[in-house]
Amino acid sequence: MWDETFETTLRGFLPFLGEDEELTPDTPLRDVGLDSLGTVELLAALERAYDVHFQDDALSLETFRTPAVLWAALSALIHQAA
Amino acid sequence: MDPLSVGDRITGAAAGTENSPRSRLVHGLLAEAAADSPDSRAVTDASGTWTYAETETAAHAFAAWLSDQGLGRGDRLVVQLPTTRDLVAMFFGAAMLGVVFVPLNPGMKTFHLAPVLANAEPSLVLVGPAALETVSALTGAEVRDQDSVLAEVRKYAETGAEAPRTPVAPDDVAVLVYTSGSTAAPKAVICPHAQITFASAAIERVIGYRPDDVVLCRFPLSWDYGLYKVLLSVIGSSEIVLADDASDLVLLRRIRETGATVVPIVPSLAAMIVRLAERDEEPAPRVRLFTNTGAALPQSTIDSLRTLFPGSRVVRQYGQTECKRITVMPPDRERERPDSVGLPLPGTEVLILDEHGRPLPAGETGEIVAVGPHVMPGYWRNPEQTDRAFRPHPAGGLRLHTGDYGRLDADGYLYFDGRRDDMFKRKGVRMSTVEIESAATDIDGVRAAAVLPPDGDRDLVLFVETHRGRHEVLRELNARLEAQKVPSVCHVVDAIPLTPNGKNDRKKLAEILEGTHQ
Repeated sequence: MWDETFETTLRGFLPFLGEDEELTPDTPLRDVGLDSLGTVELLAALERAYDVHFQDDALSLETFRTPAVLWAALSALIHQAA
Repeated sequence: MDPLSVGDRITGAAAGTENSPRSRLVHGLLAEAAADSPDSRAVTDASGTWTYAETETAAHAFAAWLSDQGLGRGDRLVVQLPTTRDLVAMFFGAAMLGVVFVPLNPGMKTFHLAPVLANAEPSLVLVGPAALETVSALTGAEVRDQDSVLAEVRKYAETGAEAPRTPVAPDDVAVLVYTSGSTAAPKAVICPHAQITFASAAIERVIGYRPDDVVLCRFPLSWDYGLYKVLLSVIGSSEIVLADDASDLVLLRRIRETGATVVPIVPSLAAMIVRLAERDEEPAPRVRLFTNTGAALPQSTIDSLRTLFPGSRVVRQYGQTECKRITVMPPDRERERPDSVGLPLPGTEVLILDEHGRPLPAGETGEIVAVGPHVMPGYWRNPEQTDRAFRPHPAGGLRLHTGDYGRLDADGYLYFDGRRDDMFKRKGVRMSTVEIESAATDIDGVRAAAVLPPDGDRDLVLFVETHRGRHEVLRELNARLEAQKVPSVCHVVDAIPLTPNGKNDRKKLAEILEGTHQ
């Protein structure tokens, strides 16, 4: 499971998800309000928070489909950086 | 010769032959480019590139196929398809037959699709395979899936089929563009060949697309902004890259890979490009023009674009689908008058009128009214809305009452002020409070709804009377409207405050939002 920074950062870009509603690993992010601009800003926010850089081939909509997929891609980068 | 001499700065009146499009027919523009530059790159999408000659061949094949389906002059062809080379061929092919091309946003949901199909009354509807069943249930017209159609069209192309000779007149309708209006369902702007070709040539003359330009178009053809980019590219013998399907995350890479020199933007797209360029680690791509429309670009975005893309110019424009474009700031004057949206399109005029229809002097704010050969004839099968916006001009023809307010300066530059009604733009797209409120009240359990349009730093906000959760309401709304029209904030209230006339009291709503009035 992901850490709190990830949860907080991600929730900031999901306007259709209530504070009291659970963010599950498989929640389709688009359905809870992650739009194009939100995706780009989320990318920049995660890169800043974790001091990593997503390579071009990771920049697909697939990477931003669900929390689980996104966390997996991010963890791989954090691991590399460590 | 300076294309904008002093005389036409104010009215753009020096139309003359210099400003006439080479052809007054949409498909005529393609024929000329195919004759002049047959081997130049014309249209690129994710799967490849066509030259001008190949684009012309594909358009002829589609026209021949379409004619064999029994469609002819005046019939409507509705397409709800992704923006690809094939869609461009369909656009020009339909024009060759005098068939009216009706491109719909692939993001349009059943909630709007049903009334739109009833209004367009098409002879044929083309959709993606996944949509075949749902769309067939909405209309009595024949609905075909794109894949099977393209397989048939390919056979026509292999035999070099040509469009049957059809007399098409400049006043014939080429396209219906569905756009959001003051009504709950979208309405269609009637776009004849003459108006489309005039406006395209006039814009091209100010902005100046070149044969070595590569135009990266992130917008769908269903939006007239995307559709006209195709025409501007054809007039300039430039290459257009259709990137509507591309993920915005790779936008910068697409700009670099395609060698894009011209990138049409709206403010939200510009914000994304800036964000991506800021985190980029490679040398800046060689973009020479960013052309903006949809809403004013914040000065900070303009500054960032200039810094991140050295040597680029940011062109400000203003318009409405009802006459395509109203003003353009010439690229070489981009740094002058930073608050202006530019000069009237060459060959057209902008008037500022008071509430009685009397012209106001420079400096005074009134309704922006457009006059000229770019003004469309009205809305499709909607006389009431047509009469409101398109009114007879004393000097002849129709003029467009935009409902937008602004002023001209002494040199004829236009300054946009805002609207006095329920219409507004968000993420570059025009919409109305009525449209969003009626979609919200369509949701089970929502008794009443009111919308506050964006204002300054405040984004679009929805208020609802309901027992349901606010996030649930937003998700339901998301199933009914295109993404741009779904607010990111929703408040559940006991009762929507009303004015003495029974209208939603937006002033009170704004107060609720600011917490000054509980």
